[in-house]
Amino acid sequence: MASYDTDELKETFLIECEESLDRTECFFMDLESNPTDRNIINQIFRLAHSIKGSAKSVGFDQLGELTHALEELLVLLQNGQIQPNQYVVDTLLSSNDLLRMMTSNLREDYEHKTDTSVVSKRIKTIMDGFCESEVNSSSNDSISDNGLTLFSETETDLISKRTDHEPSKLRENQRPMDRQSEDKDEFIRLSLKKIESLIDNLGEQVILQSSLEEAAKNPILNEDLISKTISQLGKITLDLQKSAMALRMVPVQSLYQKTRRIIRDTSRSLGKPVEIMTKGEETEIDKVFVDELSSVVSHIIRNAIDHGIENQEERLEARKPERAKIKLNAYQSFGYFLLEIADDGRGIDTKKIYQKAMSKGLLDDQKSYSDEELINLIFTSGFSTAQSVTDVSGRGVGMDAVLSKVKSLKGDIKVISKPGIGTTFTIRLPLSIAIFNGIVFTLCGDRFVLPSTDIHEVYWFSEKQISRINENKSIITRGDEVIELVDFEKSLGIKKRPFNDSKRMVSLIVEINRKKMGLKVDDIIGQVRVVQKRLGHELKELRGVSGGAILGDGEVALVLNLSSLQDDIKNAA
Amino acid sequence: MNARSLTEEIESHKSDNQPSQLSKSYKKYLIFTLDQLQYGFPLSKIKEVIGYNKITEVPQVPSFFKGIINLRGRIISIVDLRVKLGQKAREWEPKKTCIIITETDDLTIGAIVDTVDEVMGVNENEICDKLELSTNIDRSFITGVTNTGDDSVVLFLSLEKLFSRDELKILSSKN
Amino acid sequence: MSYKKNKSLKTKVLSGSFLTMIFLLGLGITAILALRSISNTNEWVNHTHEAIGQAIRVKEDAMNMETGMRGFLLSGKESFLEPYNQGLSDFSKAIKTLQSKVSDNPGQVEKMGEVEKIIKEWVSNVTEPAIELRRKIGDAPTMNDVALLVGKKEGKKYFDKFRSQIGRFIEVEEVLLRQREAEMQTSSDLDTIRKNAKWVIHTHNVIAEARGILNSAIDMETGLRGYLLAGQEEFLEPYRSGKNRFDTNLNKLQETVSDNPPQVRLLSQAQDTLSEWDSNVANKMISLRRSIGDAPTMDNMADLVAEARGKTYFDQFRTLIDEFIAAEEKLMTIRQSDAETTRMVSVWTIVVGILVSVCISLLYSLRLSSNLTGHIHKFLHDIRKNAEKLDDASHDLSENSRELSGYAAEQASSIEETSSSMEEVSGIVRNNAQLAKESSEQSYNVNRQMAELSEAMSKISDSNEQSDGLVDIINEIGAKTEVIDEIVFQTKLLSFNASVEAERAGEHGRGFAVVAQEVGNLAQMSGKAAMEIAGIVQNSTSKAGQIIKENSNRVTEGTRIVRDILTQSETVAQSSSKISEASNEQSRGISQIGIAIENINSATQKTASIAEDAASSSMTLNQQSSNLIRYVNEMHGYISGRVGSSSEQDEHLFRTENSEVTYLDERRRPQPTPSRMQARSETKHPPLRKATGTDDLSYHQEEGDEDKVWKEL
Repeated sequence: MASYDTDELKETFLIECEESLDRTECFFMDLESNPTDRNIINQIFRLAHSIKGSAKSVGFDQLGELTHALEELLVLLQNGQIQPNQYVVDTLLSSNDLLRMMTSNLREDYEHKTDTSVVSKRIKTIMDGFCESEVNSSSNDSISDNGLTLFSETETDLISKRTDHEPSKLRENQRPMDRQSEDKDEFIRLSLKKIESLIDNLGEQVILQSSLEEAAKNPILNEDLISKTISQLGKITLDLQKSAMALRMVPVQSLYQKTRRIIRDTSRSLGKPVEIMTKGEETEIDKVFVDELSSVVSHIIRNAIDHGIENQEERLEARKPERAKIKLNAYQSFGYFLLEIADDGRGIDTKKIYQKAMSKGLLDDQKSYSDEELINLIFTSGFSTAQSVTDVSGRGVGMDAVLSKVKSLKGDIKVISKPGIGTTFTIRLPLSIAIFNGIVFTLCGDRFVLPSTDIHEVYWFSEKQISRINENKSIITRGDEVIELVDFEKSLGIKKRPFNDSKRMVSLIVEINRKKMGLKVDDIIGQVRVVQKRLGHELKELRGVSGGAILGDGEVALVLNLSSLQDDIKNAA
Repeated sequence: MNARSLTEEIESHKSDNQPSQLSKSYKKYLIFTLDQLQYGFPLSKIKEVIGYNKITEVPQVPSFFKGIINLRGRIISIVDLRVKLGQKAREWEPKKTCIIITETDDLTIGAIVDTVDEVMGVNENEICDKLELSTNIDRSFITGVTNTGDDSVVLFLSLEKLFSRDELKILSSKN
Repeated sequence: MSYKKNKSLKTKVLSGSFLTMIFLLGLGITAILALRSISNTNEWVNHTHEAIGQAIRVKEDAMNMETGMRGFLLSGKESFLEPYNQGLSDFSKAIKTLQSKVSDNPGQVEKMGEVEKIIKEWVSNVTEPAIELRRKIGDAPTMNDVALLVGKKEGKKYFDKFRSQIGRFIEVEEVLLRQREAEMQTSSDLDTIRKNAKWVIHTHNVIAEARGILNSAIDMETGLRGYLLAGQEEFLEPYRSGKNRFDTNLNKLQETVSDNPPQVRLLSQAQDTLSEWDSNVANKMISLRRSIGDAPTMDNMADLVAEARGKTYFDQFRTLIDEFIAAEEKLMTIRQSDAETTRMVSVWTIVVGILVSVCISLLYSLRLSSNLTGHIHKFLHDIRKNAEKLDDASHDLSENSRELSGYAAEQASSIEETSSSMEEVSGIVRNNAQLAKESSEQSYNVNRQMAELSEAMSKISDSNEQSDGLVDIINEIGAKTEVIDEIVFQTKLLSFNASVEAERAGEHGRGFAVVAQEVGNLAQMSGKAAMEIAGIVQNSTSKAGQIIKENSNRVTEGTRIVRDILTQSETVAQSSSKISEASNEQSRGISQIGIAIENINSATQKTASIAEDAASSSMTLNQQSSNLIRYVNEMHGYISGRVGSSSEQDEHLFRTENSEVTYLDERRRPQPTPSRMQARSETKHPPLRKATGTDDLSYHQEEGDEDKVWKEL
């Protein structure tokens, strides 16, 4: 076999393997909840078997061997010779992790050898000790409550190691992927339906294209036909775009799955039993987000379990159910994807925040701050009210990273907390950033695009309606309404002067912090369907710009983003 | 260089069975002119050379940052190399002024130059990097100098240095 | 008598006859007057007779009146008043007529007035009252009338009707009654029985009532009859009461039977019938009886007559009439004697008058006729003299016309001469024109050649333009080189990009690098080539420009020369055309002269013909004048009574006639005759002979001259 071919096979295998390992992880966790479900075990077995087979065939022997060991364990489970107690499940999960690690290592380097000793040992322990299972079974049962105490030191080490590893592993899991997103290709599972619709649309486009070619042979005669065909083409192209975009959309389920593991592990390690409730798994989200958000969500959850959720006694005292609940809810609204992470813990203590902030000198003692403001301080770098630094969290570097990540996706994050009741984090990300409807307008001679969803209304007014409050502030009156007028170019930092036609002035009415404001622009060109393109990394720091749009004449116009401009607008108003 | 000499060179190089050596000692550069001085970019870092394109201005950027263009569906940032190197900006000359699209690991930037002259292959030993130059360009950009046939020099520039993130740092609104 | 003294003949004649007529008229008048008076007298006689007659008639009328009146008084019949009335009217008429007749005699008129007055008095005082009285008696109703009226049995009619109506009414009610009784018997229902019983009673009552009404009507009749007999008012009581009862009861009954409309109607009819009787019969009778009560009788009449008032009046009347008649008769006698006298006078007047007028008229007519004859002779003589003069004049005329012809002929010949010399001149002029035309043609040729030359020049100009076009093309090429430049530039870029790609491709791109290099070289070469082309273009353009300029100059020069030549030839052409024009003018002038000559010619011709005409006219004139003389002679003969007597005169006249005849047949051509003046002097006129002893000797010489002339010609 040519090296080329083998490489491809290997690559394909590794990708498939990763997917399978995701599923097996889920299954393992299901097994934990439903120990008696044979179905799950069967499914896991099937997956493991296929992995083994493929691994061996492409030459990943180590992988194959490990999988084989796992298989044997699974056989025992299948036969009912061992019960899926906590230890077993942990082992299974650890093996899964290891396999994962191996896979990603192999992706880097086909020859990579991973240290499988720890896990192998564990498996062996189980296999050996299954005879002793009956002896341990009783005690095993109680493991589920307090996993920590039952573990041997080595195991504790293991766990701690694992927990050490976990974040790093997780990070590793993330990082390779991040890197991959840059130089290696990503793979997505696609529904056949989506592909089919895409192909159909493409087919139609081809037909229309050739019809257009034909008609263009005699443009004057076929004028009508040409326009019709063009409009049809436009529609098809739109559909195609949607279909293509849809290809990138994956259900948020995968995100949930990723976080599930984290939750489990964290709750186990911290000894706080947690029940996960998910909603909106089918909500579709761009694949990119899944990857980006997983770390964010993980961190938030870890934080929640660590700081937010009380220990068992406290919960009992507060008459809360023993098992803490973490709810994950994903849904779409107004062009945004929203993910709520809610816990029923003790909530965020704003007083503590205040104290901490004061001690850090972040606040002015003369001013009074709202709860919202105080809560938002948790996103500040280095801020953590954690009494101690746990492995999991408390380093205080987490939340600000979370915020910056979310912001980098042009989204935002909101925290609502009620003392004693719980805390809810809401991550909001714009959907389909790639295509949207926008208003093209000119400002200081340059063209810009603002998404229609951001705009309340386009308002034409005359100079008479302007009243100057002071040298910086002016308002326009519309009947009873008073709207603050903003010199938009200042918010954007444009040094040029706007082209002012005193007869007719136009402003874009937007809502900022529930207040209506009018952004004064030169003129409105019209509404266009915008394909947003990323700007180079060098322009990542641009305020208020979410990307570039290529207009009909081939030229570029900047696409503005109000949420990041809010401060500037407020300052310019 | 004309076709024959080039062909000869290629032939001579072909006989060499150490292709990697070739790649080490002999490097190709894209030579262009700025203000009657010639400079060179490593050809490997060049994506493309294009003529005039309408540039959309961008706010909040330094003066050397001319704006952005649409290049086959991709948005590329454009920098006026003259201004970046501290020279005065010049009017666009049709059929002369070009944009060199450079691509480094980090960024894809287009640089406006007066003219693009040629592709020059240079052996490493011909490049001198210790020359004293009476130029007011930031030394860190220059990787080396070489003589051309007709008694002039070519300054080779480093794209990574020239178009690093720091160099291109967009001024924040606080200023 | 001389001409001057005489008044017109007409006047004389008329005045003579007028005188006679006046006489006659006078006689006539006299006669008429006499006759008139006679008739007048007769009239008067008649008139008197008539008056008398009329008076008698008046008397008669009055008599009639009396008779009539008496008759009426006796009989009381209006027919007897007819003669009276007639007499009365006749009488008034007669009186008026008579009055007018004797209007000339106021005494008689007065008398008649008196007569009238008497009669009028009689009428008013006697006859009228008597008639009145008689009338009263006559009109007055008597018991006979009553009996008559009653006998008419008009009342019976009504009453029968009335009775039948009431009877019918009662009949109906009886029928109803029986019906109800029957019902009552047949029905077992108590209510019906009761109802029917009521109805039966009701009907009985109704019948009784009806009978009561009938009775009241009868009462009325009885009452009436009683009154008629007695004539006393109290007898009308039962009538009146009966009437009241009738009315009230009837109305009551109508109400009672209001449920049965036909019955109601029947009652109304009965009521109507009775009222009719009442008004038509009863009332009439009552009033008749009443009037009888106080009517006058014949006894009264007799008393009145006995007064004999009428007689006095009548006696007076008679006397007057007689007097009147007598007066009239007297008048008549007087008038008759007057008539006789008048008759005698008129007869004598007539006789005398006739005699006188006859004498006067005889005398007058004698005088007149002699006067007339004298005048006529004188006139004739004068005429003859004039005729002779005329003759001479006509001779003169013919002479003159002959002369005129001669002149015309001369004129014509001189015209001929002029005409031929004109022809010569015309020929010369034509020559000139021809020459001028030739020279013009020459200059035209020159022009044409010049035009050709000019064309050749312009062709050069054209080629210049074409060269210009070539320059444009070259410039276009230049423009295209611009495009090539652009292409070169793009190619250059392309080569760079190719190099870049080649570099990226690394090992695999080496071959491509060569290609890129080559493309670059190609670009360079193209660039060079383009530049060279540009250079060449530049060169060619400037060279072409030069050539064009040179050509242009040459053309300009040539054009100038051509223009000069053209100008000169223009001048020549102009001159020759001037010459042409002048000759034309000449020609025109000549032809005008020709026309003038023509005109003269024709005038001459005309003159000749006029002369001819004149000659012939004079001939005619001659003829006429001799005719005239002849007629005069004839007239003379008539007047003097000698037809063909005076020999001298007659012979001369004849002679003149003959000579005139021979000349008139010939026609002559006008010829130049020098002797015309001579002829004139020899004109003579035939002498004119006197008619009756007048002194006209002056004519003799003339006569003789004329004679001679005629012969010569």
